[in-house]
Amino acid sequence: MSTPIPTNAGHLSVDVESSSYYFSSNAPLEIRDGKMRLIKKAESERQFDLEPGLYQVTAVLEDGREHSQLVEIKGGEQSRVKIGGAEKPLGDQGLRFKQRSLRTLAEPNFTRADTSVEAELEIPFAVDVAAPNFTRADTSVEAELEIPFAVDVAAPKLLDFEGVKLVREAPGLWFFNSHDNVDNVPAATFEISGQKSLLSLPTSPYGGGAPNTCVVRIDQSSAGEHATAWIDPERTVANAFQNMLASGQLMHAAGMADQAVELLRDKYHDPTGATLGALILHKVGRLDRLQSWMENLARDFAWIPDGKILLANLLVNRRDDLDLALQLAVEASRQRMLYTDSYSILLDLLRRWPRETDRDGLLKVIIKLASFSPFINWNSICLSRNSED
Amino acid sequence: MATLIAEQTAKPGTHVLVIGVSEYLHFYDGKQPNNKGELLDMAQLSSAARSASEFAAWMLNEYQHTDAPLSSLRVLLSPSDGETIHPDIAARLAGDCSATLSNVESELIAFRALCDLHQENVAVVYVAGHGVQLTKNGAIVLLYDCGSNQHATLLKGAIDMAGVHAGFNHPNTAQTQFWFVDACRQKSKIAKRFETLAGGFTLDEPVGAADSPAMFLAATTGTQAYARIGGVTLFNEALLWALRGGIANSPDKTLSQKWHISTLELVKSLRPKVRELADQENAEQTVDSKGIKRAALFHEYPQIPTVKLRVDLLPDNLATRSEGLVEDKQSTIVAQTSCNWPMQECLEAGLYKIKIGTPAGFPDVSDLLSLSPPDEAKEYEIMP
Repeated sequence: MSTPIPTNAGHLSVDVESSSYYFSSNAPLEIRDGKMRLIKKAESERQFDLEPGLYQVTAVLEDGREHSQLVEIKGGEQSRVKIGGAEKPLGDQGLRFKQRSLRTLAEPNFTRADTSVEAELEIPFAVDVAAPNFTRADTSVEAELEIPFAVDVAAPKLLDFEGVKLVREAPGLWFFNSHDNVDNVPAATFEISGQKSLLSLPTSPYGGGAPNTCVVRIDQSSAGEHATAWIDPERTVANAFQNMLASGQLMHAAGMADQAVELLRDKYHDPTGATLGALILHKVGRLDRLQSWMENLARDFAWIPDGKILLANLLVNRRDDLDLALQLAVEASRQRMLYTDSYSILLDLLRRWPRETDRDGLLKVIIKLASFSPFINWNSICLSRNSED
Repeated sequence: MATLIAEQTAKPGTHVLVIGVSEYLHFYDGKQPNNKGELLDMAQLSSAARSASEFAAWMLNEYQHTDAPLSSLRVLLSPSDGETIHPDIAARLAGDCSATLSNVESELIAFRALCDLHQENVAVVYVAGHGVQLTKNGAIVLLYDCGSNQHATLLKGAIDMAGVHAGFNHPNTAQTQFWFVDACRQKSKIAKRFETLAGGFTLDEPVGAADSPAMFLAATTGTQAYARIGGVTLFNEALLWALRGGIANSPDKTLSQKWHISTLELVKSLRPKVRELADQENAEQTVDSKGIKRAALFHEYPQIPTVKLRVDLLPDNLATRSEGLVEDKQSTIVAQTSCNWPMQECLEAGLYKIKIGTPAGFPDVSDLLSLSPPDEAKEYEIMP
């Protein structure tokens, strides 16, 4: 049943500005009325008839953040708002005042649009108050400014890497492409504050389209510096998965993953990005229906143990083919994992293995895996662990 | 008795179990130190029991859920000497309410039986104390008598939170669950000794899954970063900040007709808020979540929350000659200032219009405001 058009309605047209076709046409919108009651959720719909009043239109875009716009609807009139981009009502013109929303406790995210040029210059070493995500701004800053590489003996250093090519670097930023053939999850070792840190890298072998690059950035918190690996924004869907996960927009990420994993799967362009999509669906309990896809991912991309872990977990939850589940779990435990969550899932799975007869045999595997645990950076989406010394 | 209120079981309701452990009997600095306790190489805490009592008091006094009102509240606390327990909770505790393995086991089993009565029940568990974290989503939380010579293994006196959570994750119990685990994580040199962490108390794991078994696990390394001196743990501070209006979602036809907090707001806000608090202590603290399958209602606000609005006008010399007003959606003026900036007002959350009248030669301002808890600050810079 369609919603009746209100009498004296005004018309609202919403433009979603995004470099991704997926987001501009499919990003879900939420519309709230003057009392901020949620009155409409829309998937691809962009035209609305609304009663006169004040409204807020919100969407979560590829940077993982909520973008909102306010609009007043007047009876019989057309209004238009733009979500994303500069975020000014299209109807306003000739503004001679600047308005800024200052950060509030309720919205702790760091918004690049709010930062000055000076702040942008310092992005790689900015204090990581709100876990800034990785967006196009990060990659363009260093390219546009050509920051000279300052020699600093205390600065984080890239010591070693495997399974990837280093394609460019800037202070605090390293860009990696995958080798064409990989048999292990790529990784890089950094020395940060005198300690070695091994970081799994979410690159994928070239599968057509844009190269499946990743970027390592040094983020700083009050407790020190950390290397974190980010999927390059050119990999729009996978980068959005990671940004949404980092921002706590889990349900938006899952909604997107529901649709996008099909795309990622069919083209086999980006198996590490597809694995992140699968991990998101696992987190929200929606991976069950994709068992055959998980079987393909675990088989065709055996170098990514995370697929095996997710499949083993599915089988165990169903108490289905525990022999296969055990084989997958043990194989995965011998490989370098890509995502921190996969490590957690595997260790939890093995520690609470459902078949008593297997438990003694699993003890050595559990002990070996658990020995890494105290050294893992739990804040990192890609698996990262410090050396023990 | 660990049960603080009369249990209501006839209708679906919210059942709560709160455990807070600051005192450890057998640690080297405990009242009955022993070799096993000393092997753990941990010291007494000062804020875990207090934090747990603060959460229990919030559940007792402030929690609102139209479809699942508070129906039972079980509290087990082992405070350290001199630790302050919330008076509303202290007044209701009677008998042995210490967080021993035996008490925790019996209260968990009783709690599980209550949760199993109605699938529409809401289960809330809050546990704070020393912990050992092996994964993002699980921690072993040590109990008051951990290290007892009566226990067969070193970690017999501990709860395996991932295992207990898994024991509740099935279709025949409360389908909406909120688990808060606030653990003081051990430094790596200590954590390494625990290897597999076998032996912690756990439950059988039925097949299937609950609809929304949300768990929030906070862990920080080192006792100094765990809590404010003489205060509560950072996680507790962040959680109660959120529950007391720090975050709120607007009414929604499917979840609640009132302003409320759901799993989604908790996921989005707890991690950055705890990080912000930890940064102030030069520490790092993580908050991870699991079992977030949908938006599940945790708490409803009885009234529309108020928002502290502050509007600044620049340059200063213009501000002294400008007037401002804020109108609600019916064009009723709800805030006004005449040359007295910044404009500061507490208003109900919602959408508003702001109008600023400026002297000749400057443009007037007309803008829309979205006010969400807890505060909103705007700044307008006017150019001739």
